Amino acid sequence: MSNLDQQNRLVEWFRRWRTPLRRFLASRSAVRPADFDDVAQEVFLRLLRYDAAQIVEHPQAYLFKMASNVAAEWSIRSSNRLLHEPHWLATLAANDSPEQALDTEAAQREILRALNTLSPRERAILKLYFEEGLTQAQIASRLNVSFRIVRRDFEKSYGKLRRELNDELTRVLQHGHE
Amino acid sequence: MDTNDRRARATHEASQWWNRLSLQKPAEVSQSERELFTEWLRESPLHVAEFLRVAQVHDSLERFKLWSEVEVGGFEQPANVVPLRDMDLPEAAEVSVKARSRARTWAIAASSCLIAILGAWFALGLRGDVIESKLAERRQVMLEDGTVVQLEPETRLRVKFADELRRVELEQGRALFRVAKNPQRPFLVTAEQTSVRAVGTAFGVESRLRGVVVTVAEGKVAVIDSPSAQASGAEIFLTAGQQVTVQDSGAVAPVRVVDTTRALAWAQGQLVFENDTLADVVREFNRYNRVQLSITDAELAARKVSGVFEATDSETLLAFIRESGNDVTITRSDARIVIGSNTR
Repeated sequence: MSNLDQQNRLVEWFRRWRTPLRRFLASRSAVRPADFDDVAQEVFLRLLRYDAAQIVEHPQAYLFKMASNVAAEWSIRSSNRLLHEPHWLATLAANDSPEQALDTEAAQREILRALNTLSPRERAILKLYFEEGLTQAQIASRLNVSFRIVRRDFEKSYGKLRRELNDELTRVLQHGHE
Repeated sequence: MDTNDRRARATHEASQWWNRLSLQKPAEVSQSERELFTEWLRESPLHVAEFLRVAQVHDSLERFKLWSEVEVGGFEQPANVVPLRDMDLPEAAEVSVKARSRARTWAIAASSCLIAILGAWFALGLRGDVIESKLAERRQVMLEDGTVVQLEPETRLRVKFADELRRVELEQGRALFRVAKNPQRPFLVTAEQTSVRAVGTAFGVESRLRGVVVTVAEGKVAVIDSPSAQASGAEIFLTAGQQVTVQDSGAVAPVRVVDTTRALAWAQGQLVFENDTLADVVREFNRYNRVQLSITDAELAARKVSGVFEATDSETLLAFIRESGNDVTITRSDARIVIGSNTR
């Protein structure tokens, strides 16, 4: 099996849902974490309105596309409604200012802190995946554990990180660069 | 289940989906997996929210730059392999059971997608309705609440939904339930004197000669072995990978940890036998096939059989029997296959 082949398939897969995800995450900059569930609720209702057969083709792409639309609409609405709220002003002020680097640094630290709540093995697995770009199968053989353990650890760490990560700080990271 | 539990569960499932769809096997996500994922998303806004949050976690990790500062203990160096392995073993064993049951859950779910009529929607007139499957017929039915029931051949269910309770009576046969989550409206399956209560989970219930067998593929259920037990609140809790048999006498065999791939193989159209008599094997096959097998020889009928068979493929079974001894004769007619012995 050629590495290049695998790489191509990976690229192809990413292409399908990556862009809408990016757009969603970027537009999230104006969605307050407190509103997140309401945005998701709206996305959910839209998912129900669509024909399932259509969504099944590229479920993630559909999901993120809808989410980015909803988030965009939401941010327009909340910008009208919350123009004078301190939070909104703070977001405006943070744009392209030296604070942003600080915030990004803070966000990096926040992720580091969250990662340190994981077990050493979970950390090692994520590190090999994100830093060295190994596949899960390669990680399994590198660490000499079963593929199932790697997969299970991935699932567990994502769950833990989702609870641990501070929404506010990582939000900055999401629209800080690119 | 309170809100936090539901959220935690949704987070866990979202992580699993993320892992399946976005991290591993990128190009090999099957149609049925995508269908299931879509179904899952459309089950609850909570699922949507948690999946988006997990996407966000992934994104944060992708943008994280301080990996060099992440301490990984001894896990990075292959030189540490030996002690680590020793340390890992008990957990690894426990994990593989869970992982297998999870893999199996997907397998069941995936295969149930293939079993024809997905989404046969009986939204109207279902209350108190009977759903049944005939000999050699397997069917999948979606109930009005979104629960998917997979009926094995010769199975009969009575569905009685009320506002506060979803009740299904398994009158005969066996069925796999993938229950749509609704904590406000518990899902109760009764078979003979036994009741199984679920909130959102997948489990199989079989009404058998020796009693009622409950096997949990995913989530948690409460088994109530008699109406009096229900009154006294004596419930047996089963989690994924566990099985319990309630005998007709009312005796409850201890909860067993099972390989759900095997214990629920019937949901994937497979029959698994382990030291069962050929008579039992044939009886089981006959429920799945129009062409009926019979055994004329008592000694042959008592012969023990172990193996995994496609339920609708009697030929493989026959080949297996033929190979197991040269004294076997097989006589075919239109709707019957007679297995006999030529030694007497």
